[in-house]
Amino acid sequence: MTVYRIPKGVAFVVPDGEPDPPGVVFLMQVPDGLPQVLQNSAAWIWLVVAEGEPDVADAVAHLVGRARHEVAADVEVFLADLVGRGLLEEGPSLP
Amino acid sequence: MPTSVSVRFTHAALQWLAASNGIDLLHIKGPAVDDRLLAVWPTGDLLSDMPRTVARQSMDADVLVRPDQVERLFEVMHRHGWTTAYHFADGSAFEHAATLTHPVLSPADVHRRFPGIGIDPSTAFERLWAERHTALIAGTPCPVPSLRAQRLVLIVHAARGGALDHSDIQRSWHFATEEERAAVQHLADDLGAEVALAAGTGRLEEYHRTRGYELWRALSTREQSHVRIWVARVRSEPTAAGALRTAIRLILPNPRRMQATLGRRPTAREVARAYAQRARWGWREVAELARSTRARPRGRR
Repeated sequence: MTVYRIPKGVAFVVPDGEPDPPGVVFLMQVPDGLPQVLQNSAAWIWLVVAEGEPDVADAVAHLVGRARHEVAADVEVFLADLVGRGLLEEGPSLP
Repeated sequence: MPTSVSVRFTHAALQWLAASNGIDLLHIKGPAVDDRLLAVWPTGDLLSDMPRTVARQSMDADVLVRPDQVERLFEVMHRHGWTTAYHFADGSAFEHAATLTHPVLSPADVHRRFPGIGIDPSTAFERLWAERHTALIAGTPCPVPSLRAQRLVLIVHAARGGALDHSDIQRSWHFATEEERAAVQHLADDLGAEVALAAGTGRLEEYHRTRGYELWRALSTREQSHVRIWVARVRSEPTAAGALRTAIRLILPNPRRMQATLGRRPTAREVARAYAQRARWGWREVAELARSTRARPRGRR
């Protein structure tokens, strides 16, 4: 299973007053990147990774009240997109 | 992007630049303040799990840089899109902080010393650096002063603004335990900040006739008289050269400040007129200072 992690240099802020789970997270590759915002399920996926969950799809499925197989494909696509944008990186795979 | 988010990104960006270039920064005030010194929301619900702290509202990110690395930090920041809006000499009479702006991020206030700390700035930084710890700001590990140093900074900052009833002083001093207060006092003694601390904690009269007493009395009581503040600032300078420089600087107009006020570069005529106005005002101030100096002998220390 691929494990994702936050690259060094990516700063993130959940704005004050956000509910739990937060609906918004701002990201920025410091020092020169442009701030980006992820909202709702996109924010949840990124924050699940930030919390160190190894099985992102499972954690997101739990958050949205769906079965893992229903969300896994979309989650994987989005994770790959975040990796491509430099907002996540792949870590060593778990056996 | 909310300002509170942008300020945190500024802290993270500065830390990244500092760490990548071997520069030591301490992040102070704003989101760098320890949770134990933050206000707490009254939940009104006894069954609720944890009280919620209230995030501090800042418009800029404050950092204290190791003094001999100031120019290096500026050079690095300029390479990464930052512009110096105000140099040290353009700011307060303490000349303690410069303001740099960025097209995307919140402004940064770069401190080379902290007003109220009387010892040599490099020695003071080393003292604070030695007992630093790390706090996460925007997910980025940032060095911050120790808890007792944060208490001292918040108290002195509030006292400088004449806000003696500020909640920062309440939480940092009045609600602190005896041991916590003693720790703050011990650090203040080491840093030469005992007068400023006393001003913020209602004990200033203990330092009557000590250098800095007049200045901190003027600041902490929101003295309205320009003359008295001017005299106090001049007298608080430890050297004659420093006193003279401060005396002159507080009278001369500042073209960079004029530009900020006007929204454009002042014309030569406007600068000349400002010099003339300040000169007239200055002569009156000098006369008042001379009378005041004759009437009140300079404090010792």
